[in-house]
Order: sequence, then C-alpha cells, then structure tokens
Amino acid sequence: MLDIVIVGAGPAGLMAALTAARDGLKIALVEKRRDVSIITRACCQQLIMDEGYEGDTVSAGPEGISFQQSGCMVPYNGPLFPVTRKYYISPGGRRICFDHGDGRPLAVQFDKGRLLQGLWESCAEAGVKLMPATTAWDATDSGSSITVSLTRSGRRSVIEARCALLADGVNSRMAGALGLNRNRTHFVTTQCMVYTLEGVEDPEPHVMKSFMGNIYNSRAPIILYPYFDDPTRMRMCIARNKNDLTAKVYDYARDKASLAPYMKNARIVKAAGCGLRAYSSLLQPRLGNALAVGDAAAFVEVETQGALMCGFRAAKASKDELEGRPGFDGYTHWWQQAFEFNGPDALRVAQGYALTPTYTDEELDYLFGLVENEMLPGSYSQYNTPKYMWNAILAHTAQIDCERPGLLEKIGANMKLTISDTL
Amino acid sequence: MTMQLHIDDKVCVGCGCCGDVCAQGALELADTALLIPEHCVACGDCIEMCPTGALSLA
Repeated sequence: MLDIVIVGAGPAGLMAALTAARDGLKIALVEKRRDVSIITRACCQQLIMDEGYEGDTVSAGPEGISFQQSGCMVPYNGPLFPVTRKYYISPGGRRICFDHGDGRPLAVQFDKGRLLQGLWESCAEAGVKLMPATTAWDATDSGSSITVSLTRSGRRSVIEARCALLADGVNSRMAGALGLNRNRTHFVTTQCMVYTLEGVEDPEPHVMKSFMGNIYNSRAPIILYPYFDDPTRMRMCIARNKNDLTAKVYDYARDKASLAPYMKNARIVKAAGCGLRAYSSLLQPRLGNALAVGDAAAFVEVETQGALMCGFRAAKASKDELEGRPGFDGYTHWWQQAFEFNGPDALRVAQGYALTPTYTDEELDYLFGLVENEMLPGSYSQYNTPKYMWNAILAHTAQIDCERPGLLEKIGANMKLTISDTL
Repeated sequence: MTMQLHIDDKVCVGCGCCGDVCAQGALELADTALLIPEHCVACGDCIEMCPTGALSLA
C-alpha cells in the first residue's frame, strides 16, 4: 500500500511529496490540473520578507528558496524581483510610504509556474507517483487507511494509502469530505481577480501601491504592483463588492479618485481569478489518518512560503507518524504557533485596524496626510503593516486631538483591543 | 426539463475553484472548467464560487 496520498500539487503538496519521497516513503500526488506551470488562479506569487514572518526567516538566491528555522531548501532557478517600496494611497492621493531605506526588499516576486513545475519535475525524479488531470472529489477514513475517490475525464477510480495529506487549498474538498470543516466558522464566500495590465501610466512602476477608499466600491484595497522588471506590464489584484463581481468593480473603480490617472489607457491582457470560502482556521488540522496542510487548514491563506514550510514539515511528521512516533502532534504544535491567525485575538485585532468602511475617504486623506513625509519600515506582512501605520499616525495624537477630536474618539473606539499595541 | 450547468468558455479563466466545491465530482479542469453532466445535481455551489460569472443554471 502507498504510504501517503497527497491531494493537491500546489507548493504545500509538492514540497510534501518531494520531501517524503526523498525520505524513502511511497507517495502518490493527485492534481486536478494537467500542467502546474500555468497559473490561472489569483494567488500569492511573492515572498514576504518581514523578519520572523510565519516563524521563520526566508531567503532566495540562485540555489533556491531557503528557510532558516525549518531547515529546508526549495529548488527554484527562475527570476526573482525584489520590491523595496510600498505606498498606501488615499482617495485624495495622500501616500504612506513603507521602505527600509537601505535597499532591503519587503517582498520578492517569483515565477509561480516555474516554481511549481520545477518541484513537479523534482518529484518525478524522486519517484513520486504523479497523477495529473485527476480530480479528488471524496474521501473516507477506514481507521487504518484513507481512500480517495478520483475522477479523470469522467472515469471514476479510487486510491488508498496509509495516510493522506490534504493540500488542496483554501476550498479544500478533502477537508469537507472527511469532516474537518464541521466546527469551522464560515465567514464569507468572496471572489477576486488578478489582472495583468498593459498601458498603465505609472511614474514609479517598481512600487507596489494599495489604493484605499470607499470611493472604489471594492471589498478590499485595490493593489497595483509590478510584473517583475517588465516596464510594459503591471498587475492588479482587485476584489468584488457585496453585490458585484470583480469585472464590474474594475470598470467602476478604474476612473475614480487617485487610481484614475494610472488607468486612463490601461487594458487587461490576462485574467486570473479566485473564489474562496473564508473559514476560521483549523486549530486541529489532523483527523484520524488525514492531516490538512497549508491553505486547506488556514484562515484563508498561508502564502507560498507558509505552504512550502507546511509541506516540508508535514512530510517529516508523516514519516514519524508512520513509524509510530507522534509526528502529527508535533506538526500541530508548530502550526498553532507559527501562524498569527491561529492566535486568539488575531481577527478582532485586524478588524480594529481596518480602514474602510470605518473611516470616510476624507478622514483617510487627513490621516494619511499626517504621515506623508515619513518613511515607515519596509513591511509587507498583513499583521505588521497596520501596526506600523497606526503607530506612525498616532504619534500625531496631540495634533489630531486639537484638529479632529471626534476622529480621535472614533479611532479609540475602534481599536479598544489594539490600542495598547499602538500607543 | 432538468436544470443543467452551463459553462461560458469565453468568460471562464480556468481557475478551478468551481471544482473545488463540487461535492459530486462533476467538475474537472482542462483549460477551462469541464462538466461531467451525469454527476451534476444542479446544487449551484459552483455558481456561488465562480469569480467571473462564467457559470449558470439553465
């Protein structure tokens, strides 16, 4: 019998398969796509360089992507593009600048298709039984093995293994089938798109820009960011709103406020999309002979670097587990403390920091204007950036209290939980 | 007349999120989403998931 069936050849599944196969285990890797090198889903395609992000220090070089704490090296020989500056831009064009000031990147873009294809080929060399164009749609745990139901061009089959790693992403069908989602809170189902654009007029194309404001009528800030060092292309990540899909939001937002000047002659040349069910995190990602890894167990996303670490550690844990040691317990302990969304107050804290719809566009202009000439630390992390931003803004508390006491009260009311972090 | 899922190939970007949520195994993924009609029960979960509006029941 197979030792492990791994469902999903994203970064978590691929890294798990490669690691486990190199450790001598018999592995099958099931993937619905024919070709992992073609990215059609809106997804993470950069490394987040905040120190200690997800409990590790990541670096990228000619040998590949390496993780100091996890002690692993991920093969990758594709392009790397460092992003050293990020702006948060208010509707009136006031900018908050995040930049280390010494050339250190806050994020490093990589070619996701190339990363996955390289790992896929390494898996083949390592003896993984690769099963592309095969969709896993159901699973059962007998107590001594996991059986996964497969469909391939309409033909049904099953595959059985001693255990399973569920690496099929944020909408994990496997987690649903095996009952792991039973106690998870479903917050929202939402969608976003990543558009590749030509014709964007941008005097600073290497700078990542988040356009914040109620005027854009999107559920999230609209992010305009570089496409490697290609001067002719940019990318945009844009979410739907409550009533309209992203395409409509894009048409509406593109000629509004501070986004408009960039987009006058912009046209979409490629589109990738994502629909996702946002569930609360699975604090206990293991059930019987199955372990959910990466996005399948997360509050939305672990990012590519998180997935690579999850895959590596899950493979090591599986080998321990199969040899009678409590590997899955060890994995769970790491999972719980490495990812900030597994902390008790993470979601409430994040809500307290949120800019829209809490603050009006005029209030955003005012607050961003207070710190416009400062350089905040080069943070990309969704957990650190709000702290740096609010720390910088609230260093001007005396001024806000004098000029806009009502606004200061509103800030205090919204950040009850977080105010001790920021003041 | 039973409801059938319709996939607009011109709108579908091939993200595969529809297949992620299909509990019947009725959706696979080629360049675009691929329906296996005999297993579709017209529950509409895939339509709720689709980011481009490529899916509909008719």
